Amino acid sequence: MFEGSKISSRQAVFLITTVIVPTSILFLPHMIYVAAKRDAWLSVLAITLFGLGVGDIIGRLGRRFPGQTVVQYSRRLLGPVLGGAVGLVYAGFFIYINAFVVREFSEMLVTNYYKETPQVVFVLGIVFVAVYIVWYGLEVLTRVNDMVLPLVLIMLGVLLITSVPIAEPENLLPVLDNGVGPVLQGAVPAAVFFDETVIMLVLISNLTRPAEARVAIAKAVLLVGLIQLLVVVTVVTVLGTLTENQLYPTLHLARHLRVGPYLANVDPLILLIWILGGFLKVTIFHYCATICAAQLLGLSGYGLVSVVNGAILSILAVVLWEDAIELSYQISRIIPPFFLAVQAGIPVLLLAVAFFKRQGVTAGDRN
Amino acid sequence: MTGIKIIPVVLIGLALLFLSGCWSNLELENRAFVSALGIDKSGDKLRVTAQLLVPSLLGGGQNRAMGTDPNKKNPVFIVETEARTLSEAVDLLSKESGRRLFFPFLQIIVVGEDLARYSILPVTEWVQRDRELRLKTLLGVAVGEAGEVIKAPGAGLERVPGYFLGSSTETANNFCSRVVEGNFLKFIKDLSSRSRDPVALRLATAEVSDQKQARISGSAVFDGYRLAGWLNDRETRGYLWITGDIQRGIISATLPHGESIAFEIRGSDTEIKTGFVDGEPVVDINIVMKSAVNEVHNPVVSLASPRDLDRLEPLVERQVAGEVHAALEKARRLNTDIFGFGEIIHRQHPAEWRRIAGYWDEIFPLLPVQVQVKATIRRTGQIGSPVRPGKPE
Repeated sequence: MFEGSKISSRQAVFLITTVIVPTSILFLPHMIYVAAKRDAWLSVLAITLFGLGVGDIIGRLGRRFPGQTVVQYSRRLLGPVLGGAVGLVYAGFFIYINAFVVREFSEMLVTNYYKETPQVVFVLGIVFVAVYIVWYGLEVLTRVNDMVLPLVLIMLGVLLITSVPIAEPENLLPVLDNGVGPVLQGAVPAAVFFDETVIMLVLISNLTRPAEARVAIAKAVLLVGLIQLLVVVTVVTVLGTLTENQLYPTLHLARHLRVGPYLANVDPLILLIWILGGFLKVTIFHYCATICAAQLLGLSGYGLVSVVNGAILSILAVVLWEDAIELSYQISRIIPPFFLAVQAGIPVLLLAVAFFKRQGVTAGDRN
Repeated sequence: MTGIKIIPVVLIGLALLFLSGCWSNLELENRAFVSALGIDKSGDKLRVTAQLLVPSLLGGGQNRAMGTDPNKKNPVFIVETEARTLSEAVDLLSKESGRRLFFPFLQIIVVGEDLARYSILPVTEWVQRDRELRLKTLLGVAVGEAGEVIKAPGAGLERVPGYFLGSSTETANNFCSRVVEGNFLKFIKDLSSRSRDPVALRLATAEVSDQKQARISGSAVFDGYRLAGWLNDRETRGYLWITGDIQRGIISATLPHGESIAFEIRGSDTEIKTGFVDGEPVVDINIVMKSAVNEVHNPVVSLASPRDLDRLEPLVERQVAGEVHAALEKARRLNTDIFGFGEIIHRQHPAEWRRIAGYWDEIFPLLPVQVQVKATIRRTGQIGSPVRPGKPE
């Protein structure tokens, strides 16, 4: 335990859900559809399974070292040099992936709503809030999330239910027209989102009952998988082939919803989901990045690190990508293998080392 | 104590600076509301004709809904620009109108026949890419020039001509099933489908109570980006039967002795089955409909027993089948699969579709289609048999 906050397993489920849902409902339908076409929902099933597997490894790893983050136990497992390198990778990874999220966040707002507002306004705005919340610790972050996530899910529910009347289920047929290949291809970029359970490498150290980590992660991945499945099925049944050339199909869906004369133009709902969920996602990643960096440097406090990290994050978010197309090209084509290596590869290695070196608490396995 | 309070005071003070307005706000009076947009081909350029609302002429008052007040001018202002791209032409519209254009009230985009025959791509591109436009906007193709349709001052019962086209389409969709859905969403969906050809509204101008007025009549059939031909009213109805989009409406049929009889459609269901005979695709269209007798022009017709109603059913069935065949015939002649038969075969027989997909253009015009209509007549309105003269003839 580094920062004194304690969170329950249920709260951990909420945090994981918030990290994955807001961005994935907006970006995934298009990303998956490009490869998997009308079988996109099968890709979602595939990545949910994969996400369960990776989540389980992260959970097992965390349970072996209660109260410790990945930065701490990787040193213990691999020694100061190699272990330190692993810690550095994670500290860097959390900032880097967060730069993606911050940029996506502002890119989406600028493209669809605030054409004339400079990007940097959104970047600074969201990073400032993230730094502010992290300053007060995980407990504050968790409680905000406890209030916001239900709202986000209710709004998403409204969106999905109102789409039912205009859905054309036959858009899903024929199933597996081009075999399994495209389904798996569609799952690859999506897997990055579903492996964002990687935040638990840090957050398990704050769980009141670390032994429940595996169950909590599994619950969260199943919840996220279900939500994603509903979103993808809705988008494909309503928009059909249109999904392919819409960069934000879910937003489009919201724009065309109309329930009788009473309810129309519900796209601000998406904007709300996006802003509320997006800012919490950024904050959670920022928390993880800050804790990793502080522990790596052997500091006893992390407030200043949060501010410095926030500054680095803002700069990276603005300078790393030239334009929206470069951003989405990197996310779907270039980044996945590297991110998957960090999100899934390293935890597998660490768990293997811990197993063979008989390191960490294994009591949970015997009981 | 003062030290603690300084920060909130400064923050509140800063907030005041931003209270005067949003970042890129644009006041209502600086916007031009577009109600309809016409796009024509003019040489290498595109000519855009915009129908803008004039708010001062729109204002409240008793006659708001009725466009008949002779003292009130037509509350629209017409602007025209020309440029190589649609976005540029729209940009120039702001200069011509002196205001920034505002699209949420845009009802319909009308494309001129020449441009439609050449390519409709610039229009779908602009509509999809621009963040202010909604795909629920209607898409019409003008017989002749789109500019003429936009300029026509007649507005039916509405005050704004563009709004008339919007409400006319909606009403015709819901209550008489005479026009296609006609919005960009459906159009682009069909356009991007592998085998379905899209359909838009067909617009023409006519003289209505001493004014030129744009009206919807039939539909425009596309082959990819290009206009391939038109469906008339009867063929449009046939198209709607096949796609299963018939809601309400009246069918007139002929009684055995030549008099007319009208039926009201009370709901219908279309099922399309595809199959293969000797390796060749065949299509079966099954239409089941409920109807009611609405008007009989022969006093001798008896509507007293269930058997009487049964005898009338073939009349509706033949009429509907006729409309369906008319649509099929036209689609075959234009070689456009507007009904999405290819898509349905793909869904129902994925393996066989793979074999024939490449030749679909050659198969479609000769595709055997069986049409089966089953009508049931349930009601006869407020009376049974027609009233007969009491005195002996």
